[in-house]
Amino acid sequence: MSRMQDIKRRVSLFFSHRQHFVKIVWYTSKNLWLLAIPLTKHLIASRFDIVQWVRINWVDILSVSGIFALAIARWVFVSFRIEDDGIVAHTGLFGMVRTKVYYSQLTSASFCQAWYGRPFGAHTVFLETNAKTLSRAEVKLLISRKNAEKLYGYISNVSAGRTRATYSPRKLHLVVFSLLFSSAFTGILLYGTFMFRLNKLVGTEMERQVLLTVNGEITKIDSQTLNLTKTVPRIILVIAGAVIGAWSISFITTLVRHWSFTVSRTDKQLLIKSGVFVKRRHIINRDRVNFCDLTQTLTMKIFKICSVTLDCTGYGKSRREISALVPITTYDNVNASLSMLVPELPRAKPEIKTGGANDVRIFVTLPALMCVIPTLIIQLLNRYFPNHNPDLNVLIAIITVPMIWLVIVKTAAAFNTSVGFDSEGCVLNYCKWFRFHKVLLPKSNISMIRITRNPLQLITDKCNLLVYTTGEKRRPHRINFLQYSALRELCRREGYHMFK
Amino acid sequence: MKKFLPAKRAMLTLYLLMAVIGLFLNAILYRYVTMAPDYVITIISQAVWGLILLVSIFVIPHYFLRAKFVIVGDEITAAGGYFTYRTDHMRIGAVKSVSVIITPFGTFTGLNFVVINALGARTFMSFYKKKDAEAIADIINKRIREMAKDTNSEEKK
Repeated sequence: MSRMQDIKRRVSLFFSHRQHFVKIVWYTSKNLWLLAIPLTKHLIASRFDIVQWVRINWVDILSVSGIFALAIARWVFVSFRIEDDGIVAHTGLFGMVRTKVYYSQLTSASFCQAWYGRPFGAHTVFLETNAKTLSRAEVKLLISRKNAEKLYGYISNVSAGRTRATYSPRKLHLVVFSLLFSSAFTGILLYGTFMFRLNKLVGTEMERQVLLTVNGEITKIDSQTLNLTKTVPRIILVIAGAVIGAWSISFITTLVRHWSFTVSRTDKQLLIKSGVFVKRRHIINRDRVNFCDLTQTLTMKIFKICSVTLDCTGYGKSRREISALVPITTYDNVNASLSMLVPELPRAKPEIKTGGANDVRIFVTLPALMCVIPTLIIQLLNRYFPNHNPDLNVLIAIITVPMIWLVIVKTAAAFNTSVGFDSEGCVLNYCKWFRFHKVLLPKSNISMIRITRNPLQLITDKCNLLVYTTGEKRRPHRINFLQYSALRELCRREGYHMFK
Repeated sequence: MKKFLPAKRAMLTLYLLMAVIGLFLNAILYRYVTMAPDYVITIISQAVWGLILLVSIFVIPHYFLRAKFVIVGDEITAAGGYFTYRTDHMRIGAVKSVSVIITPFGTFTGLNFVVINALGARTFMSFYKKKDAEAIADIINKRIREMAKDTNSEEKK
């Protein structure tokens, strides 16, 4: 083989293993539509003198036209066909990628109709299978109402059975659910996303104006009502305002998302409907449910209520959606609800539990040490920076409050941590930060178990158990401070090979 | 039962790497950090060497003494950990793919890795001989093929 032929072969091999080079253009063209904004601005500035506008901006006009032409071409080429047993989607460049997803292989299908899509009858459809472990959907299409209904009919017909049970929580329960699952952090995220999008769309000046307006309105309301700025340090007011505002945003969003929540069980599926502004319908394949999680905060524990969520690829994946099965229920009703909606779910009993005085000490030590940190910081500030703003001390002291709450939560966690197996499934009771979880899952859905022991735990015969379950995310259930010798015996009994 | 242990030559490579990192950091410290007083540079330099010494005495030997990989029946068990001791237990039936990472000169350095991916879990095994890493992948892939065959024949029946 000549040298030239060898080079040719290598070049050909290189390209045969690469994506089409048009993809390079695709990668660079994101958000170029923003060029349309200055163009429109110039058109208005030139008082709609089209000839002058074209003469000055012809390169930009050509680029924007090209981008839109490309978008239209993409719209033309991306197509789909609903068949009896599955949906065929042509995606990618010139619709060359042909993907068929069988209804029987779906883990979940979500049909969302946003308020802005309703006048046009536009539905976004997300179809998910367990084939991919990426965070994007298998098939995502924006389709007409007629097609959405047709597809919904086909997918829900897979079950081909009548509705066995329907559960719809009371509106008051949904308000309580939204109250408990709202967090200031989520609100801040929502607000942050809004401001980021605003910045991208209209620039920093508009964003600054929005911030100033909001600030001005808050000051005005305060001066007309409580006049807190005169008595409470400004920084505290700002933080309190931010937290309350963010929490309110989160509360309203959660409530709106889960309003009119209804779940129905058919022979093979769970059909879920919810939402006000964005109407959501989910079809969940019951065989593909990875696990059920009974979630509680300490307050919920005191009032003996809990929320049941389920883990299934695709469900609850869209932003800030909670994969609820029973949004809120009492201890008395939870078993009945689970038996009604997921009767196949194994209910193992806890076998290894924590809860002695020694365990309480272990659970509480780290959070208790964390409580001391703010006090130490205040002491150091007073000693080395005596001229610092005293409001800072108040702020640091406030941080101690959630830490003390964490100590209380962890004390309760010491009595609510356990693990157990039976012939079909397992139960995992644990506390993650401020939330208590009771996870019920079939043994076949355990991907991996990991036992970790730090040097201190090697001495005290303790260990942490991490249970990885099948699912699109690697998110283990971490059960801390279990007795190692007992867990070792349990794992041996369940057929796991344990090292000496 | 098949048992694999990490390559001892990888331990030697890591010691050499630690020494090179130490020398490199000290060279940067003495050559370019001219604004700091001499005693500060000496303290930082000593801290760097102290850290390297600690890692060399405790962390690296801890891993090589504890790490092992065992295949028993349909189960994979891997032990390891640098600061803590961890054991991973995974059913071969849950495995979706096995990746073998062979670095350049991996045969001599022992810097070869095996990544076992399952749906929702992953275990990472470091510093195996090249032939051991390839053998681990082969055994698992063979077992997966056998299991698939068994399932198919059961379905046919």
